[in-house]
Amino acid sequence: MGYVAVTGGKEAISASLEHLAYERVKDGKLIEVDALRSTMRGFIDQVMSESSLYSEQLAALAMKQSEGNIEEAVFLLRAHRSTLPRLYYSTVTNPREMFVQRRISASFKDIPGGQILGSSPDYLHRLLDFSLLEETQADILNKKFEFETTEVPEESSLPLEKLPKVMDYLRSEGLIHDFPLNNTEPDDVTKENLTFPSSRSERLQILTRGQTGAINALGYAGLRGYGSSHPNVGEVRVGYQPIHVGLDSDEGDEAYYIGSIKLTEVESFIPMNVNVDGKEVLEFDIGYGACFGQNETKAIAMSVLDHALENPENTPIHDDEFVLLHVDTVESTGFISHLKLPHYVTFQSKLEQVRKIKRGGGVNE
Amino acid sequence: MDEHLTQDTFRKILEAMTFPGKLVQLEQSLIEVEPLYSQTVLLCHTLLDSEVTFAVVENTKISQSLHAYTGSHAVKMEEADFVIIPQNDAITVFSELNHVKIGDLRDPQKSATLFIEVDSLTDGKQFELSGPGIKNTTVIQSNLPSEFLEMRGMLNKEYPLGIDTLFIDSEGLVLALPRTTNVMEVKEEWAM
Amino acid sequence: MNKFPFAFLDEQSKKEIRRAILKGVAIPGYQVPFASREMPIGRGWGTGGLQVTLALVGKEDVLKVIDQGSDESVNAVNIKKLVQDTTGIETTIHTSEATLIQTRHRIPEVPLRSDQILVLQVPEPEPLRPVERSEFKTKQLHAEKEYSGAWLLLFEQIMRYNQTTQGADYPVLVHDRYVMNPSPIPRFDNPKINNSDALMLFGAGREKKIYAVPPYTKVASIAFDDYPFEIERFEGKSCKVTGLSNIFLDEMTDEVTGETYYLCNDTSFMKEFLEKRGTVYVR
Repeated sequence: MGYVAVTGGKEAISASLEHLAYERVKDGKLIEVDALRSTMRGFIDQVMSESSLYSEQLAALAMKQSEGNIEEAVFLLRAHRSTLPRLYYSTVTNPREMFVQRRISASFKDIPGGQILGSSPDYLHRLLDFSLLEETQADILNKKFEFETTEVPEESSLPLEKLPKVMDYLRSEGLIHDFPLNNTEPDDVTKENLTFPSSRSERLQILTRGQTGAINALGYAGLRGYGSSHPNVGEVRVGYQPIHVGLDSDEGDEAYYIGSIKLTEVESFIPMNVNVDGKEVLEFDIGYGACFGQNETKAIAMSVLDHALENPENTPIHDDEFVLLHVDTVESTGFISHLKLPHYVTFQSKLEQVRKIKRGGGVNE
Repeated sequence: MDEHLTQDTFRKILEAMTFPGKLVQLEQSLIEVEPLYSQTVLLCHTLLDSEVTFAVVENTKISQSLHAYTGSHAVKMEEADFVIIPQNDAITVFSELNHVKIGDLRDPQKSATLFIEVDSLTDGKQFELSGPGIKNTTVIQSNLPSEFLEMRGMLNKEYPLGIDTLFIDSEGLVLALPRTTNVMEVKEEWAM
Repeated sequence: MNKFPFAFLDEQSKKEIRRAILKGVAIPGYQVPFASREMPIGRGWGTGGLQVTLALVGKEDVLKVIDQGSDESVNAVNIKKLVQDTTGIETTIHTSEATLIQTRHRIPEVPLRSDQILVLQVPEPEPLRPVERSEFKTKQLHAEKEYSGAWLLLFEQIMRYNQTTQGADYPVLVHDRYVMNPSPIPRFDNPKINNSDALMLFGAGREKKIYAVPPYTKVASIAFDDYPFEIERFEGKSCKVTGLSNIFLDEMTDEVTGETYYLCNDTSFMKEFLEKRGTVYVR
């Protein structure tokens, strides 16, 4: 009796990868990375945020390579990030200096600088536009030309890089709890393991790079009653944030501008009962959310979770271990999919146990 | 900055820590920081960077060079992740070590690793070592400073708290004593 | 295609892992936290073990990778390929030829030597996780050497089934101090960790922990006096090809006859055994 060993794992993998590569080309259609970068903003912004790597070009490349699979694209970018040397930390950047493209408040009808709607799908009627099936290059150029030659509307009353925060108004009335400036060096979760109880900087980092769906789901749960936060969106701003790098912090503060990134920032106001000098007073607490790219839903959900985690309670949304350990795209999808790996040795052990017990096995048979 | 040199050095350090008492020979470093041994500098090059801190006992010039070379920050001894003791016969040096980090029960790894320069790891008193990494016991013949061993005994008395030590000699040999190793000086026997 | 550093990780990442390994060796069985970079393979697929291997590996190393005891398993082949692609080192299926062995869920049958390092992939490093969800709390339990939870886990099994049903992940006490999860190796392999000639390193990438058991360290599977620790015994069963029965066996079913039979789980061990015996090994 000849024995045939089960070999060929390598060949099987090769064949599988060839199949995968074929899926992308089987219809014979080319899509350029530049085209993806220009026309797939939503995907690019989501992927940059979840992979915690700001590069529209790389995100577009990952999108092309992964055939639009967000899980895979984020994975590619995070792994790529692991190979890059970390040369500098940026200086503290203040979104007050953001070159705003969109800025609204739900808490006030009008705000200094105005409600700038900018570009957002919020006001769309979500009806499929079938004309896009026939769109040609010429159509695109025409639409571009039409918009660019339209009369420029009235400018905002205030310069777009110096718009005040809505929060300033509440602060000036003393309705927001005053906190001393906290200049503690933030923790870096990509360099040091997250520990519990978590610090605010750890939480904000994990939330901003969290899987969009997970953050949204938990934020939603927070609004529906699993949390005790009832937030009001004080301000959402989306625009370009200048980034500076300080070289050699030991001498002087030479800060070099290295570019601007698209950023979404949300400040939510949450009324809280606070004890001041023995009296119960109503004050506004703040929830904060910020993401690479235009990711408004996620940033708002993040602000709900930020506030919930700052105020621990006995519900899942207020539990930092529950929230922070389960929102990472790469970790959750990796572990879930690892269930597909062979587990026959451990399963065999269990099988043996179950059979023994069924047979009425005695003590340590 | 040679990644193969640091990898090779790391494997040797690991071997020394895994089998306490075993001597390993390190290469020369690519850069020198006087008056440290070349191999001490290589140890720093291999393990230090901007994410950890160090302290050099009684020498600020070395601290500046090491900071420039590794990116690691010099701090007070009580806060340092790595404590470097250049070749020094002074007993007082070791008594200063009573405040080095020994970790805490939740995080015993937040403890100092010491690099101690000695003149010879192949000549001197006899010590019997036992503990994890050592099959039964092993005897070494090295010039380990007894004042240090006393201090070490005190710092390591509540396992898992404690410090871990690497000794370097003038030949570039390295010997490791993780906190789990028991060290007993073998006294000369009286001839009967 | 040399856009990456040797062994994929940049020097700073390797340093952090190396520092964690050294502390792990100094505190046997204690889970040292580390930052755990993302790898090109998925979390849960061996990124912890892989990071340890990549931090260790040098030009002269010879690598063996197994999963469920097999060198041919898809996961093992993938990991081996990744290390090879990023380092150019030699690989082998023969345990005795390897200097580094990365494994998932088994310790090789061939006894290890002092010049070898075993790296085990760990999905869940925390032995107390089944009884305590919170990481904050389990860290405190380890700090206080408060391990009644681990005993409770076994006790409940005994109460229900009159025996311990813990197949793999069977907790051990290391150097009389830390209760450790030896990874999902079968109970059969637990004794190999005790007083081993080789260093064993454990990497949990997703949970971000590294731990170690140095050679010649006391490692005892926890048990009650009246319910002593027992390894799996394959009474009345033997490998269909080699006839061996004192090693871990895989259960197989004949596709044609539906008959159950057994084969050595450690495939390279079986291959070497057959080659030594002079049996022709047909692929």
